[in-house]
Amino acid sequence: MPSSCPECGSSNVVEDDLYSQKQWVCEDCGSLVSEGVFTTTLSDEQQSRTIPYYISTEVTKRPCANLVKGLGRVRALCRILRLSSDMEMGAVSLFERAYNHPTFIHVRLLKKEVLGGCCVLITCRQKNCPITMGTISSLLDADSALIGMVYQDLIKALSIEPTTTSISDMLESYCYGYKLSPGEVSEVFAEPTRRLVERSAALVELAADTWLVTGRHPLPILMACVYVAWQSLKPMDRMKCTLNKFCQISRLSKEVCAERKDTVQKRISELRHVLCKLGRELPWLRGDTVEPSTVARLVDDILKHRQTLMLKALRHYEQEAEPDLSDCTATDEADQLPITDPAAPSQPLLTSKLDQKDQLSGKDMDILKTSGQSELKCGDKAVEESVPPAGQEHWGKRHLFLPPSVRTEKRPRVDAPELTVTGYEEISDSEIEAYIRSPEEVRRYLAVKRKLKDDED
Amino acid sequence: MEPVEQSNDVALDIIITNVVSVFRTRCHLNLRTIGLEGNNVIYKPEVGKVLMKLRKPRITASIWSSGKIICTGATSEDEAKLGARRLARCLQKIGFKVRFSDFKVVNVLAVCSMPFQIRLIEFTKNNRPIASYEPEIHPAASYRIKNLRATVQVFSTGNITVTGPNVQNVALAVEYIYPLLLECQKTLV
Repeated sequence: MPSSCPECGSSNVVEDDLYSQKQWVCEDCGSLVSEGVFTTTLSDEQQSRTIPYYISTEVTKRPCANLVKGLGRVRALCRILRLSSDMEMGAVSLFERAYNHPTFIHVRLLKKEVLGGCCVLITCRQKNCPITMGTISSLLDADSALIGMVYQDLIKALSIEPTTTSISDMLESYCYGYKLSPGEVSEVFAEPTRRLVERSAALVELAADTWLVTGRHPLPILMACVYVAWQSLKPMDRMKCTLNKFCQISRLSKEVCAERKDTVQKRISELRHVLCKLGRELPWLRGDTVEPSTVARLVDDILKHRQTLMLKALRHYEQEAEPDLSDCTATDEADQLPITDPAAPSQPLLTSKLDQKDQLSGKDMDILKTSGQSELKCGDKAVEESVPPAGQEHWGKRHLFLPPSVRTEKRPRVDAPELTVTGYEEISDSEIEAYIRSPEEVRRYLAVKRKLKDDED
Repeated sequence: MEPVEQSNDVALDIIITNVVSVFRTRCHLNLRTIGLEGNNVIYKPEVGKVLMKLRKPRITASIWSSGKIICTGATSEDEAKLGARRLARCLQKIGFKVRFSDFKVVNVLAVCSMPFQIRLIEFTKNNRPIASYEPEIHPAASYRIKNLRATVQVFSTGNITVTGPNVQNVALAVEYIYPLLLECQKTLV
């Protein structure tokens, strides 16, 4: 506190505050001797802390602007997907909870946008009306990897138990994205949605049974099934129609169309090959060739008699693969009930494999052993797979329908033989010398570097 | 790795593809010197480490100036130890006062092939909270075994990849998961 006035020299200095600013004024001459700092700073605050800009002193807290925007986005998504009002409310409340959770409050805006989509996704799944992540990704125009990441973080943060959705559940809502009702397109191309859904559902089930669905993105498969189903409902007129034309005719909305058409083409060809394998077993074709490009006209019959054709195809395949064991399997199968699982590799397979490893005897012994075992098992209403007589044949060759990546499996690498290493061996100097440059080499290396640098300059 | 024999006489080949280990040299390392005098080294000044590759046990090591080193690429725990020791000798020869200490195997990655396909949806349904399967994110179902601290990724083709803190845990994890997979190899019809 100042004691004397610099102007007149009197010691009569009093404290006289101007509003909230401290001031010391000389009583005799009236001059301002000194004043306190007006604004709140570190020196004035008792706790010596400045108030940061993001902590507001508002009395009534307004909701965060991004939260409001996010809620609007969630509602818009629900409206586009035509969800019911309680599903919309569920998604909105989930988004509020997630937004204020410490995992998500400080993330970037892009993630918050994706968070809205993930909340809609989870709500749909919980109410048994699932949508694909591909749909969300195209509606939000976001990277599907980011959506996957945010989805998994969300499930962990809010401890939601994820429901496994099967592809058939997604089919019905998916089909509504195709505008093919009789009023909208010409008669040749029109198809009532109900028939389309029925036919596609049967194709999706067939694809699931023949390992085309497991582990893959559902959207391309759904698109392929709908396309093949649509073609098969009026094959003569529609067989010439390509996939792109089909997308144009049905005025496919962005969220229903798969990102990459080549994946869809691959699925279409896989599906057609499966249909061909079954179509070949149709007795009234009497050995006619069945081509993938024309199989559309046979789809109706194939789907009607799916189960029988599948059994026939599998038995046929087994018989072709195992000609010397065909007597055994043929006689035993005659006694069997129709419901069997011929493609079941299990215990006898594994034990006989072990037997092969143990004994060094020839082919004959193995055939006897395996045929003996399969005869035993046949009596138990289960036709076991006949094991190949000898050799390291890949187990996949015994199955007609396989996950496609098994067929194209690479041969296991035969690396350098495993060294028997203990970890405590002696390390000789010469080995280590190989990893160190000699002084001469170091000099040469530096010289080359210098030269390269000079050349650059 | 040798086939794992189980009580019901099944021989499965578990192939260890990667062993990650760490150790310390207890001394500061000058990365520029290592970059200059080492033969198979890549110096990354932007990250602050040196990558050194050994030939004999095929190993890549990340060397930090604090003296902490991470070795990856070995195919067994013993190989990892040998490689780490070789690396420490190398650094000693270059001229640093290296003391090989705190060697620890941190992660083991192995693959195994089942001779049957696996229905992933059924597998996930049977093992609901522990297994998770999102085909749109990753084609495999992932299964975490908490007490072994191991994660198994199951593919529909029957291949599985197992990661765990050491080789024994990995073998136990395969034994643990085998019966669960066996009951999910439901076939057609």
